[in-house]
Amino acid sequence: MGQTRDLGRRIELHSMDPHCQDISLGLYRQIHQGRSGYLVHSYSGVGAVEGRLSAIREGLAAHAGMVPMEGQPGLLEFPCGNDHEKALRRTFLEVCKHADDEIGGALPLVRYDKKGECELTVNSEGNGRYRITAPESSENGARRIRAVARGFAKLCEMNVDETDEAVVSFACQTEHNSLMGSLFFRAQNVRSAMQEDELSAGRGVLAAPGSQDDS
Amino acid sequence: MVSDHSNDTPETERPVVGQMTGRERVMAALAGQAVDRTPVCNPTSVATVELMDLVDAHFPDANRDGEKMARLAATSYTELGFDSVMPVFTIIQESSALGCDIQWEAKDNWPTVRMSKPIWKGADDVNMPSDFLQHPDITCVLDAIRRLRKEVGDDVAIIGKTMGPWTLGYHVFGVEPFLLMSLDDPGHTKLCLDRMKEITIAFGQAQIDAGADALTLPDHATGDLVSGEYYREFLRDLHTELVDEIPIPLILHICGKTVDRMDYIAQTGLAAFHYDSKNDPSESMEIVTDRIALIGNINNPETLYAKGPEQVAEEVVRNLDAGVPLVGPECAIPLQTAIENLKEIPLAVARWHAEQSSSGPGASEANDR
Repeated sequence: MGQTRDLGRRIELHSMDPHCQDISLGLYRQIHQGRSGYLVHSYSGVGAVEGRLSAIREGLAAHAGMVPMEGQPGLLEFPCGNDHEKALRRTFLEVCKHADDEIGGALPLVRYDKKGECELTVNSEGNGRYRITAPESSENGARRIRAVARGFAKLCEMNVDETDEAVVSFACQTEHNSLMGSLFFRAQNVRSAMQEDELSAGRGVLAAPGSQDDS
Repeated sequence: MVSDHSNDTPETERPVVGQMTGRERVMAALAGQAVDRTPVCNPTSVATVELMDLVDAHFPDANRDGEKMARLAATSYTELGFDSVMPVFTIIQESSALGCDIQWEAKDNWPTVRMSKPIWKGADDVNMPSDFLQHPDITCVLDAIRRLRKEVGDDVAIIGKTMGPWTLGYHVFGVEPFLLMSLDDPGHTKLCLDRMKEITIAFGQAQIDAGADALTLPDHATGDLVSGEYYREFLRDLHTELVDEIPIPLILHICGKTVDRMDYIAQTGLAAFHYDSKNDPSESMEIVTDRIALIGNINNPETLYAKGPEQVAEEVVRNLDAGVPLVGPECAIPLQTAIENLKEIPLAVARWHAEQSSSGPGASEANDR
């Protein structure tokens, strides 16, 4: 009788997409032969949906470094076979914020840092290890390196090296340059990312009249 | 399988109940009668943004257009497998018709009354406009109920909603002025409530005429703002009067911790109390006994919204084990709730009953509470 399908576990939702008639976009996890595959889906029947889903999938390939899952049409996976769900969910939401022609390719691993007043660079050292660096001449560079490393740890579930706070690593010991590039600007300001999360979590939750703030 | 939330019938004398439709199941449970299995019931909204997409009926239009309202409401049966449908997603339809300033919001958020701009100051202002029942935000509800009656009315219970006078008081007087009035001049407050009660009855009766089987009565005397004694003083007798005036089962809804007023609520003659997850199911059942049916109390923000089907099932089982006669979300679900979590509620109910029936005589006691 129903039209809804078993799409797996929904791990993220972009509830209104201004770039495609306000449709809702969901990111679903399916397990196939022990590996996690991810599906971008919308229940909307508007004509532009397929094009938008395709653009988001391509965006995840570019910005999260995902690849098509073998034998599972439409599903994407990380080449390392791991989940990296926290980073993936945030990357999905970032990709959804852009119109199809603005999604673009992977983001650079060098960014200007306003608080440090210098450029910061994320350098791969292999085996999923990344070192954050700043020019030696930068006054606030060392402080910002530590902050950004902690930001990556929080956003991407990475480990900060106990002996070197400028180094973070993925437990899967695999390079994820695209993820690092796409979440670099978020790692620079984790607090704003968290505030955005809080705002988003409260939206769509009905409060009792006595608890509503209509100011 | 026989279930009856009156505890005093010996096992051997219980009537055997054949397979019921969702409508029969809900109505029997609301009447305290035997059912074939515990009904899954939504006295408040189960609309989500994904279901809106599925049937092309989005907020805010689905709150103001009867055809879209009915289409979206039907998904709780056609997609989720609930035993009831409830088309009145918002809590502001009457307030809009009374002239309150409404922020209708977008697809992904709830409309609200701008309570900082109250329309009334005292009892003399309380007035139901003569064309109240012709207001578009009222007629859309009646239209939706008529459509649902025709389309799914034989299969599932159609639950309408009419706001109680206390909630209307928040909307038309503003929360703070209304609560201060109740402290400064309880008599005047009761006069206001008594006059606003007519609005509750009028809208309720119109929904009955349109085909509603039962009505939710949200009256937000919530635990965070008023005490149990406040409920007794201002609302217990008034709710009893509503039971006398409205001839179909009424389901009171109050959010938050309400165990301190459940005994008073159970004295009103209301058919059911839709209760919040802040209340322990077993403790709540002990308080109300068989005087009123409890409905709920699957947590919204932490479980249905943020967790997975396994945790939803755990909460369903906690309610079934406590003998709660109707199971469902505790309140209007967050619009971003995942469909698989909602589908899990009827699945968990079915599994629980299957386990009870297969685990022999020892299980029947829990089953029959």
